[in-house]
Parts: sequence; structure tokens; C-alpha cells
Amino acid sequence: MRDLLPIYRAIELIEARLRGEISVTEMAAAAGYSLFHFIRAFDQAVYHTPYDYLMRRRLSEAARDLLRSDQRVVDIALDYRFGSHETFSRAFKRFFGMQPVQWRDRGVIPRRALTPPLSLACLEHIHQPGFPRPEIIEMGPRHLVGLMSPVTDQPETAAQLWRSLGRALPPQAGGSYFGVTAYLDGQPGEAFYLAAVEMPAPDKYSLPLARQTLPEGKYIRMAHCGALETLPLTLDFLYHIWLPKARLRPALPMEIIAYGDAPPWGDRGASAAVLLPVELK
Amino acid sequence: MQPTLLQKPEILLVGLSFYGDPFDSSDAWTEENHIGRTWQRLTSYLGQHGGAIRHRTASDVFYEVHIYGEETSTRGLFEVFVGVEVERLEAVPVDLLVKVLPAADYAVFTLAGEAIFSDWVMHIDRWLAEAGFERSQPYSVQYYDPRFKGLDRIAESTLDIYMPVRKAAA
Repeated sequence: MRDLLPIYRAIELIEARLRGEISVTEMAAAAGYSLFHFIRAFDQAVYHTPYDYLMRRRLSEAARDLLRSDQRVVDIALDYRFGSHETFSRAFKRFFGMQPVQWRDRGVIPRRALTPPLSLACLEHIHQPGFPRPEIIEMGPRHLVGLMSPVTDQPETAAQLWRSLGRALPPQAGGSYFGVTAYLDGQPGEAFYLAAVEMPAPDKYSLPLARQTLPEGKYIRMAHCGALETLPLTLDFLYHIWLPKARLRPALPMEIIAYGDAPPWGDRGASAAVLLPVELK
Repeated sequence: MQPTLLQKPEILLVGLSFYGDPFDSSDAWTEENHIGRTWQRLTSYLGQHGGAIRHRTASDVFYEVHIYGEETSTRGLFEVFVGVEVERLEAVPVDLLVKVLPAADYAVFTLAGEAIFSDWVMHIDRWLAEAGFERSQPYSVQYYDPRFKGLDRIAESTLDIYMPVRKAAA
């Protein structure tokens, strides 16, 4: 694995200077690289240029400040070194698709809209040997049956549902297993989780199982590499690195984890792949 | 890393350029970047219209020049010019650009094998500081001749870096 620590040192400096002056030369110095070598190495590690990453982080924190403070927009713009209200508004609109004032009026941070600081764990995760690349697929409708519950604590809720589903399913049910998290639009933090199995003839299985059909359409599919506990890192990669680069965005407020024919309970280690419905930006 | 010091008269180059962050690619999933693409544009042009470049000094020598400006330090943006040397400028094809490097003293560093992929800019700057030199112009030159066998044969390849220098002010 490449040495990611120098790049992470630059990321730490960026975090410390979101509201201060910082040049790419200073980032390079923090990494201990020449500027040319640094911008090449940063792009290879982060998949954004250093300046682009800085702008994404500044806009994300400024967007948060718009909702948690009553500071004037121009003051937030100047806080994050945008120079003027106009420069800030243009950059904000390009990134979030709306003006800062509209963002503030709306009052809710859309799920996954903000770019979080890139952690060393995430850098190491996306640069582990054999880290897979996402693929864009056209998927037909998939008919699922399973158990659904509001998510209070994701791992615990999911584990309980999988245990219950294991008991509810007839023996030798077979099929592919899916964990579907559906978010309530505009209400971040509130979600439902469906532990399900794909059934060619869902009518055969009725109560207490719920039915859901994954709509046909364009999806990205990406195998997850590593322990299931690191799935959030794979999702971070998809939302904050891969989707923006591919000029795609989520088409529906849901995340699907496909576990293949090994359910995520019991002794068999489940493999996992992420499926996200997407559309062109 | 011991350079050769030499003086060069004005160098006339004809080629193509890119300005920006050369690694800012919308398709970051390949190794290709804007420098590679600029080279591809040039070699494709030479393959089809190479005869249109008049007074070329050598058919197997190529230059890659990195030219730094105000936005280099702040945003990581600079110009990458790739081209060939000509003896004089005459009827330069309209789809090519001209770059004139001024007469200058150069420290020439020869990189071999994997050192070509190393952070040689840092090594050069370190050598310059220790030897009492500084950069005299806002550019550096990579000089590709038949000793460079290609990125896929880097172990057998050699590349010269021309860094314009002057004695540092005391």
C-alpha cells in the first residue's frame, strides 16, 4: 500500500485552515513533497485535486454554519475565504444546486450533501489492494420479501431483523439477501431498514413478511472489500468521491446492500455489494 | 544527485499546452492525466502532419516544460507545454503554439529508472539550496531523447531535467 500519511498530514492542515489562508504550496510542505509531486500524489490518493478538496470542505462547513448560526451570508463567505458574497454564492450554487439563502430557508441538510473530512481510515480503506471499482448497471425490478423496522440504532436494528427473518423464512428458502435502508426525504436521521430476501414469486410468502420491489433503473454496484463494519467507508467513497467524479447523483433516498446467497447472520461470512439507484447530475 | 552546469541560448519550441491542474481529471479511474493527453495530442499531430513543422532540430527529441505562475502556489495550477525544438520560426502551423525559452544558465540533472517517478523537484530544490543556487526562471524542462524508452520501460530509461539557475543572492 502506498504511504498515505503524508497526504493525510496535508488533509489535517486543510482542516485546521478551513477559515484561514492556505496555499497548495503549504499543503505540499505539510506532506513533505514538492508541489508538483504533491498534486500528483494527492489526486491519486484522494481523487480530487487539493484545491477542489479544499473548496468542497469549505463549502460544506459554510453550509453547516448557515443553518446553525444566524450570521449574515457575507460574513460566512468571508469567514471561509471566499472573498465576496458573489464568489461564495456562485461556488455554493455549483456545489449544492441552490443559493445560500435558499439553503438557509430550507433549513435541512440533505443526506450525504456535505463532504466530510477524509479520515486516514477511509484513505487506507480505498487504497487497500484489490479495492474494487464501481460499475454502472441497468437493473430490472427485484421483488423482495422481508421484515422492516424504523432504524434507531442501525447495526442493532439490522441484526435483530435478520435474526427474525431467519426464523420467519421457510427452510430452504434460498434466494439472494438484501439489506435496504430507505430514508425519509428531508428528514435526515430517520430511516427504515428492510432485511429481505429476493423471491421470484413473492405471493407465496405473505404475513408477517413485507413485500418491496426495487425499481428498475440505473444503479451503481460496488463490491465491498473488507469487514462489514467498514461498509460506511465504502459508502463514503461512493457518495463523496465516485459519484461526483462520475457526474451522478442518487436517484432515490435509499441504500441497498446485496449479500448474495449468504445471509448476514450465522456462521457463513457474508460478502456484500452496495447498490445505489443513480441518475445523471 | 550531481548536475552538470551549462549555458543554453534561446530555445524555440513548437507544440501544444495545457493550463490547470494536470491531475484534475473527470475520469480519475485511469492513469491518464492531462499531461498524458497533451502528449497524445502532440504525437497524433506529428504522426499526421509532422512534416508541417519546419526547421526541426532533431526528429527524436521532445520537450516537456512546466511553467509556473501566480496560481501555481495558491491553487496548484500551471502550464504544461510539450513540443519539439526548431532552429527558427517560420510558417508555424496554426494549430500549434510557440514557446520561446530565454537564454539561461541551466543545472542539468540526469534521472535514471525509478528516479524518474520520484519527487525529483524536491531533490533538485534541495541541491540548489545547498550548492548556493536558486531558480532563475519560473519553469523547468524535461528533455526526452532516445535514452528515454517509455513509461512502460522506466527501468531502462533516462531523462534529463533542465533547471534554469543563478547564484543565490548572498
